[in-house]
Amino acid sequence: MSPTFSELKDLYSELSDFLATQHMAAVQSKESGTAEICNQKKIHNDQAYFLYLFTRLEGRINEKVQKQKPELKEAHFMEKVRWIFPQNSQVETRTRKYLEKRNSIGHGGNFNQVISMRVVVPQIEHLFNSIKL
Amino acid sequence: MVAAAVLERPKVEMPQDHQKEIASRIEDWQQRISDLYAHIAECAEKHSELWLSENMTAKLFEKPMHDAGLEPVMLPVLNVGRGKGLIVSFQPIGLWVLGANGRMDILTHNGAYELIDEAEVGQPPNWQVFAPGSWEAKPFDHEVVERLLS
Repeated sequence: MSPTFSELKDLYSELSDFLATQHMAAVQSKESGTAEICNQKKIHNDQAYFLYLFTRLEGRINEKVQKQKPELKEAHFMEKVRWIFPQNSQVETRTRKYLEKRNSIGHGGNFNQVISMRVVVPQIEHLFNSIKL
Repeated sequence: MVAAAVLERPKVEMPQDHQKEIASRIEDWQQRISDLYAHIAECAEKHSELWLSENMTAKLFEKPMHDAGLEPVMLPVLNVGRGKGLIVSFQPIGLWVLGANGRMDILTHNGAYELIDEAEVGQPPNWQVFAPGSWEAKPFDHEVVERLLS
């Protein structure tokens, strides 16, 4: 049984708080190296949950297309988004940014890629729930 | 001048204007953080038992900086404590943030607050805060700061 969005949000918060507690302890002890490691862990945890939730949205979009517009099955992801949300430039812009970030995180690199999870997660959840199969 | 320092060693060929634009964004972020810390310090003035310290740093190195051939920049962390104990730590997390124009984390013993700037790039900051475990943003106002410092 896959966890619901609500369960995933709770799980994310639990882990995020745990990592923040570790980070606070490192700062309190003035351990700069440990504090930086804690920071990196938080960013990676954010990325992992972002990928998890975006993949859910991707799956929902693909499922709707497969059921209701099979000729778009092999189309680019953004073309499917445009079909589901016609003339909604805000959704298109937002989803394109998610897709770019998903790809960028997937390719990795020795730099940080930061997400505001408290902003992005409810947006993804709202999009997911608005797609009726 | 941090912006000048980070321009010294470009790793890849990038148009100079692009590097300048990225360096300018970094300078703006440093200024927003500095103003935020000044505001916290002002609020802390009436609590004579509190101490403030900017002895620790957090590294800023994100994809646009990497792509522009810029070096990492160290940003100040603001720690606030009472006696020997730390009560709150303001940590710069990122500038090119999906969903915001910059993110700070506020560490406390009751969990982490997420503080984001909702303003458009180049506009005056609009700081919004999410309490630990909350998905609802609230303005980062005097009341929130007082609660953090209490």
